[in-house]
Amino acid sequence: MEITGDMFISGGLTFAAAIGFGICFNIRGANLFAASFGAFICAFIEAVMTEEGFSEVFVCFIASTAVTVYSEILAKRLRCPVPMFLIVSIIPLVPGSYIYYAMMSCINGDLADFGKRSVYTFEIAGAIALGIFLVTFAIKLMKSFKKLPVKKNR
Amino acid sequence: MNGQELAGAVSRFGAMMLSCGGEINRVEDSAARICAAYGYNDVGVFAIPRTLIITVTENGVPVTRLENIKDKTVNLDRVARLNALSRFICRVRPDADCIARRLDNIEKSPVYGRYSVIAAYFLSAAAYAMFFGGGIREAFAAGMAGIAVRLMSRFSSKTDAGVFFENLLCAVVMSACAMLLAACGFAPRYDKTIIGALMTLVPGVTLTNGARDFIAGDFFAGTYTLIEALLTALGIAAGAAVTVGLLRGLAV
Repeated sequence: MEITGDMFISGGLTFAAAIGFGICFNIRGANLFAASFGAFICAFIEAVMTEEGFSEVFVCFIASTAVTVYSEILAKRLRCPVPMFLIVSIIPLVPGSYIYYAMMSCINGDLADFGKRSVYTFEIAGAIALGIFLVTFAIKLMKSFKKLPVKKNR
Repeated sequence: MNGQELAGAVSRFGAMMLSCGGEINRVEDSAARICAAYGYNDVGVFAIPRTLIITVTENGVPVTRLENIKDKTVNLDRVARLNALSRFICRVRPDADCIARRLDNIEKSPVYGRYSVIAAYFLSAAAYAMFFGGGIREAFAAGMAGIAVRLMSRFSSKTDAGVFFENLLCAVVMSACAMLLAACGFAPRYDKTIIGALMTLVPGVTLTNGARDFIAGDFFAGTYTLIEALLTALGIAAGAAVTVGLLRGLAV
């Protein structure tokens, strides 16, 4: 695996974009940078894994899992709600370009391509949601283990 | 604090949290926790994205409050402040006046100025245009289209036309802006421009919150939120499709 400058460039671009989104959603102070760094991680993982030849849906799933873990840890540390970090971090994965290309093939009358791209859009959205599901569920599981009555050795 | 006061305070708290983009589950959970902190365990809370119903039963007499949330603006800083307030209330159990004062303070908490937000739209759109392979010209054009989105979304949110048409309007203005800049030869690769500016419209908040509502087991709120995300996406696609289809002849 080779880390190239391009990966940092795409990470940096999403970082800048995430700062913009953070301002739109009124995230303030250090939280803004912490949340935007999540977007950097997300884009970086996406770039590295795409370079390695993984399928895009799988890449989205892994990146979304990683970012959710990051957000949960930050939320615990900074005592803020998880969405504050999660929403901004996950935006690079949202399939904006697929929506666009699906719609373009629709107006070009290429129904087969339109169908393919639409399904792809939903697949990616599903992969993102699944990543969030998995981590949140794992955390619930850990919490419920902590609540179990523990036998004390005397 | 009596049941009347508690129901009033909690419903105001919940309504504020819903209106600034807190998840349904968070609202229901914190409302129930606050009531429990004051010793009211016979409490019913029901929240969907635009409505909150809360019933507090005191000595067998129920007190019900219903709040409708008219306008929604995502303000994550406010969600965090409200979250901290709910922890504070559960720990200290202040009286109704204190809660009201703190809620007033949160309502007055600072937001970014109008021009900062416009600059933020420019930045996001421009950065995404480059992220998706556009050059510096496409980035600038996308930034301009992003500003158009911001100006339009302020107007369209006042029309009460629903998410589909509001986003359709924004997408129409955004792509018209991109196509015009392409037509005058400034940024000929209009697809990159549009994708960049489109990212400022995509339903990131609703998608994330919807997924989180689902995992919390609240399928009703989750479905509602995800349908909102779907309608937003369809609105964007329809608006951009119509505009690109009409104006494509201009930009060759």
